[in-house]
Amino acid sequence: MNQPLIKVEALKKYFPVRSNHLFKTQKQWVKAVDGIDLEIQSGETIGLVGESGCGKTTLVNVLLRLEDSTEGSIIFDGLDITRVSQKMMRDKVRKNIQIVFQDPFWSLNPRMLVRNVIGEPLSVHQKLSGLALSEKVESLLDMVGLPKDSLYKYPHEFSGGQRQRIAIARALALEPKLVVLDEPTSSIDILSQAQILDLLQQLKEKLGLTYILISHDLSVVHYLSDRIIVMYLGKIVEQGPSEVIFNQPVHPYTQALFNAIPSLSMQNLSELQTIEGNVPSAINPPTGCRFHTRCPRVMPICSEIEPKAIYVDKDHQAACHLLKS
Amino acid sequence: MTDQKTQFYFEIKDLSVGFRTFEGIKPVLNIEGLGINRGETYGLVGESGAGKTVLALTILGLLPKPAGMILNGSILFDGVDLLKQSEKQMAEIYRGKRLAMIFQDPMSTLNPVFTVWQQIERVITRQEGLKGKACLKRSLELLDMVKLPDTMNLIDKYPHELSGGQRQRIIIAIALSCGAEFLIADEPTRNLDVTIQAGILKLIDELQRDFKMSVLFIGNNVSLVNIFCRNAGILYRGKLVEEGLSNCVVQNPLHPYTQTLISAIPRSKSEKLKFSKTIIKPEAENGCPYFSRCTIGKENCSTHVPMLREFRTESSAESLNDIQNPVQKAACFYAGGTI
Repeated sequence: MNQPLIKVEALKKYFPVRSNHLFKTQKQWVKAVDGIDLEIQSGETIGLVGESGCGKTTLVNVLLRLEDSTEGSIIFDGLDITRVSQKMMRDKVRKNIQIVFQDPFWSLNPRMLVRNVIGEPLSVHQKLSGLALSEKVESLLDMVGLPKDSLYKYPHEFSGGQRQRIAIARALALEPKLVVLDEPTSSIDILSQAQILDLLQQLKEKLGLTYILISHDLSVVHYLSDRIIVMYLGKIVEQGPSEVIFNQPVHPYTQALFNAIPSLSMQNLSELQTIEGNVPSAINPPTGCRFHTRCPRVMPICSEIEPKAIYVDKDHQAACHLLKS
Repeated sequence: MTDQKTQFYFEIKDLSVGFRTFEGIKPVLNIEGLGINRGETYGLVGESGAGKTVLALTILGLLPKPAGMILNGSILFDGVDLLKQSEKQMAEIYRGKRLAMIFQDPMSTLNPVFTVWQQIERVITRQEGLKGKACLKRSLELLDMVKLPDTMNLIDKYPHELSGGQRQRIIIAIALSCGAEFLIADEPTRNLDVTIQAGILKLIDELQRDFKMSVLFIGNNVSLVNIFCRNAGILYRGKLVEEGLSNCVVQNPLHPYTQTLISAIPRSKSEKLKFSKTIIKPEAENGCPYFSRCTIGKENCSTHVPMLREFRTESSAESLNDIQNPVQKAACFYAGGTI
């Protein structure tokens, strides 16, 4: 097997919360990401799936080092990016990892021209300016399918889909190896969504990119991803190739999650399944398997021992006690 | 056919709504006809800006004035034209009592500075005149109705202490507190997780049966509308372009716009997405609203506006045993062809 592009080992990110009682101040931790191992091969698209609050965004923020990790290592291109200095991070790493944020209405500075929005990373890293910068930005605009006269417009002059294209152009300006897509289509219409998804797919093939895709729209994940990782309360519960996870999920959480998505083939509301209860607090996660409080197939062992990830198949891992028998 | 049409419990006839702008009045909504029977769900699908929410506001008489103008038409509810009611009548008889609405975003529809109890109490006191213990009893009943656990504790909490799903349940409880007969649900699950979405939909479905409510469900997710609603209408630029039983519309879309909308839903990697490129032709001012993006449109599409026509297709023939809505309607001269 090739050297993975990014390798994450036992990654943890805890956020401190202070609870002030009258006589004692207690420090507690929100365990947003709690021990994650992950390998991403170059050229892959990874889909990160889970309910809100499961730690998807925190994981990505730590990968980009927008947040410092509590424990564990992230090896990107042979370099442990949890340890390197901020300067090193900026000079060597950042240009290789870029992100497209969720909401293009907030992620683009309303007071900057499109030329400067897309050109800022270029002027910082490649010291481009003037005509050279304009030309480079024009070629990027062309790549994402926007007209050249967009150069001297402001973000508010574009529709949601077009703004997301600008955000994509900005992320690709430095020719990164890894692009993180944080819910890239959640705030735009279905027809623009189809166009954006198609564009992302084309760009990936053309530029040999690696994507990490976060989305709670599982149809989007199904369309783009090669491999899917299902997270629950800061842990990975199941991971494997996209088709396998969609067709034969083994973990009860994954099954429940997928049965809750409305699809065109469904006829009745009764085909839609719900998961009882809410996601438990990440401050005091349930003992044993974290899903046992809501699991439809819970066993006595589940509340005592935490299940380890086991290989169901080549490349297909899941952490559940049901799988042992 | 005309006899049947008068039976609709809720009916929109020739409604057109416009907004006053500097360049004159811009029409935003133009609906020839839309009918909902008692106890039925009707799903309205469209992109943002299609006029879905404007329709909901018009029905409730909440259209921002003076910018929003009702140019023509009538909205009949139980035989009464809602557009002819005075603001006082709307507030006292209809809105909140017989007509209810669940708004889009559960995060921002509850007031953050009041507890759940204060917000429910206000509505019940105003609409039903209950006070004190009777009011508390009724509030707890309502919260039980929407299947919230531990209601005694919950009622004293502030909205920020609750999850999105819990908030949406409280909003549903408030909306239905006065036994509404007609419910408008404007993308009620938009910002919720899929796991919670299913629960909310089942709740609305159950309450609809219990109360025999008619529901106008507004959404932008075709598959959701297909599962949830009996009938579906596709709205494009303020016009209904297709209408019919929801599974007929989904399985056998007639209008090119509906076809694009359905093929734009990503399925799996192997199936390629079909979508219309951005505007290819100039706008047709007097023609079909979809002309500029349509791939099968011919010349007459740019000069004539297609009306909703009835079609009898194979999939609608299967459900012919249902006499009231035996047909699928589409507003296109070349409907039925594939792209």
